Amino acid sequence: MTKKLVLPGELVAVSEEFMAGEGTYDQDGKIYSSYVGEVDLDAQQKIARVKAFNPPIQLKVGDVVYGTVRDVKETMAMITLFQAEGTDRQISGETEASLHISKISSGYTESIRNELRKTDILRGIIIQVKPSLQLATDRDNLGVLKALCTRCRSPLVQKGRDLYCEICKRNESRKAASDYSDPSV
Amino acid sequence: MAVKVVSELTRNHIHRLAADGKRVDGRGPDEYRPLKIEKGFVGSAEGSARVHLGKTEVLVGIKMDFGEPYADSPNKGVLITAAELIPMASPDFEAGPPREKAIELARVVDRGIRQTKTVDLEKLCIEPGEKVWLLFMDMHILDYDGNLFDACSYGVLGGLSNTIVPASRLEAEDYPLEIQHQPLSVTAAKIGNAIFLDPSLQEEQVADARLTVATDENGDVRAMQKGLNGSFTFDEIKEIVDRARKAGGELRKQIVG
Amino acid sequence: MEPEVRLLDENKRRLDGRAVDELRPIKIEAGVLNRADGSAYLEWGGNKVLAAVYGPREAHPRHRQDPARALVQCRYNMAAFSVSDRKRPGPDRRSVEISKVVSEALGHVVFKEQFPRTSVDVFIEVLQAEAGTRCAGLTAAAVAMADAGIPMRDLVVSCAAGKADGTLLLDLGKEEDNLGEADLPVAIVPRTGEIVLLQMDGHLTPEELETSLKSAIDACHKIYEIQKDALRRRYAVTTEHGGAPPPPKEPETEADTPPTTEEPKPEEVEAPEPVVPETQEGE
Repeated sequence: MTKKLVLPGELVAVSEEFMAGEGTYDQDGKIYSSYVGEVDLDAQQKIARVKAFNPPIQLKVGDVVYGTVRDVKETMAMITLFQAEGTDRQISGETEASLHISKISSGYTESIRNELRKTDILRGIIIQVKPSLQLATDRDNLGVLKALCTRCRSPLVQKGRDLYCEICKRNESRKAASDYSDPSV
Repeated sequence: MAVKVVSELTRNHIHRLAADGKRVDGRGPDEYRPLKIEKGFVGSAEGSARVHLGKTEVLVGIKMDFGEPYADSPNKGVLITAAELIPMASPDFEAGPPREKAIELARVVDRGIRQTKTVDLEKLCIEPGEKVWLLFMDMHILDYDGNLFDACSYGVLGGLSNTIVPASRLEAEDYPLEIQHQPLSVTAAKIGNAIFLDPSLQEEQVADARLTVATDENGDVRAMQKGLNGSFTFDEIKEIVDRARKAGGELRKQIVG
Repeated sequence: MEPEVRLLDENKRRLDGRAVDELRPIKIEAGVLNRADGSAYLEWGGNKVLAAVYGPREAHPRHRQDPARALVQCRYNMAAFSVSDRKRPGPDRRSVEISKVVSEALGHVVFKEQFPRTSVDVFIEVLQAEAGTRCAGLTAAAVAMADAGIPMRDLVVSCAAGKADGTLLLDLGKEEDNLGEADLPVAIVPRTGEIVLLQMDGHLTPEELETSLKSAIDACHKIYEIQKDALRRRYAVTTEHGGAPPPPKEPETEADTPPTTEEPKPEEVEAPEPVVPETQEGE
């Protein structure tokens, strides 16, 4: 593949030979770039693409994201996403995701409230983008990263398998991420 | 908002490092980020300075015009300080609030200049009770990565030090504005029990308390401002003042030359 | 109106030595800020302008969101010290109008439907004004949008033509703007030639309008090359080595650089709005 830098509006290919793929658009039989990026002419599939150098953050399946639990219902939790892993840039588009009870942990979840509470901050992975954002936390490194005591609102610390409030001297259960005590963000 | 939530997650990490006297970006406790000052950047201003403090960037413009003095100081010029936290500088600066942040910033910088009598306002009197110079110090925040107090303080001093009084508008000759003192602010952030100078944005967001100390060229204290919810002990204040005097001396050389 | 100052000499040279169809020097640099998703710095004669872009990001307030497409929202602002008589901080009617027409011009080239409910926020800060700040701001903003990776059909580029001292002139300078007979700012999409911003005030015959418009459009094509060059310089390293774009270049610093222009006269700055300044402080 030859690396060629193109700018928005620059001719990339003609539509007799290629189809306009990601990062390009077709106008009057010609394919132009819509980004500052690198041209990728896929001769086999006959698709012309431009890979943007500095693309907006569009979530896709497999992306690791951070969010806050906005609401907990019977079978799902609503999460407001605020960041995707590996970038400081704000998410471009929908930031409301849902997390189904079956995707919270790898084992059986009887009640969501034993795993997540409102205002928890968690790390999840995107498992569906359309028609709506869906998350999963069913891996060791995924789950709650910061949780507050539901009684006194002080931060919970990890103690064995549970989280513990040092002020109320009581345990709370959560699906905590494996690095809860020292999140690497 | 996003940055705030991320800082919730990194808070423990930064506090743990701080407990060992370490900082996230590897700086020493009193080490400032690289400081660059470009004076005279704005030709339409009577004086100006563009300041880079690490990734923080501010542009300070000094404008002069004439107007009426205040009734209670008929023989003094008027000093007016304003700061704009424009939304260009940060995804968290939106139109509207936090307005108080800009006001505090302008007032703290203003105090350092006013209290030291950096500019002798009596020399800015043109006709007592009638006509005096108005000296505007406008701080424009372009890129926000923490410690605006210091970046603006250096910008204002840098700007004043190259200000030309446009006296030709009064059929006199233009002349350089006289700077009587060189006040500089040094800002410290308290994270756990550690105290670091020139906090970055990341540090500011997890800091318990903040203290800005403006010292003059003699090492005397000319203005202070404590911020955030946490507190300092008496000894910590003494220590910060001491460290601010040392750091200020070094920085002053870079800014006034 | 007969100007008292002659703006052209007998050889049709302008006060700053330019020919009637000559642009002021233009310099553009892309990717100059750290926090913004995309940015550009532009010098155009005595104008110094910064543009920054954030987004596409969730549009606020939520009721402004469009379920089908992104909003392109521009805020044009002049720094208090950018003009010879200090401008009161904050928006006035002039800057609100400019923000609107610039938003519309830039919005024309953005593939807005790719980012429903979001906003592409464009911030133009005039740091030093001479004349033609809207053209300078719009030209810088288009580069900042491309730098931010906003999907767009093409760049947008802007230039003004006008008339002063009885002569049609390209890219009015400060005296020409203040004393001139007409001003015609134009912005185009260079590849297609579409005109996406057009304003005019003053007095032109239909023939003069046609000539001026053509001259502004020709100049836009020249400025387009400067825009593209800025973007290529910014990303040249990327294509050589692959990977992420390089961090913003450290500005060259020179202590005590003399001002590049002497006291530019304000552009048509309006009388201050009767609003209380937000951050003004007098003790």
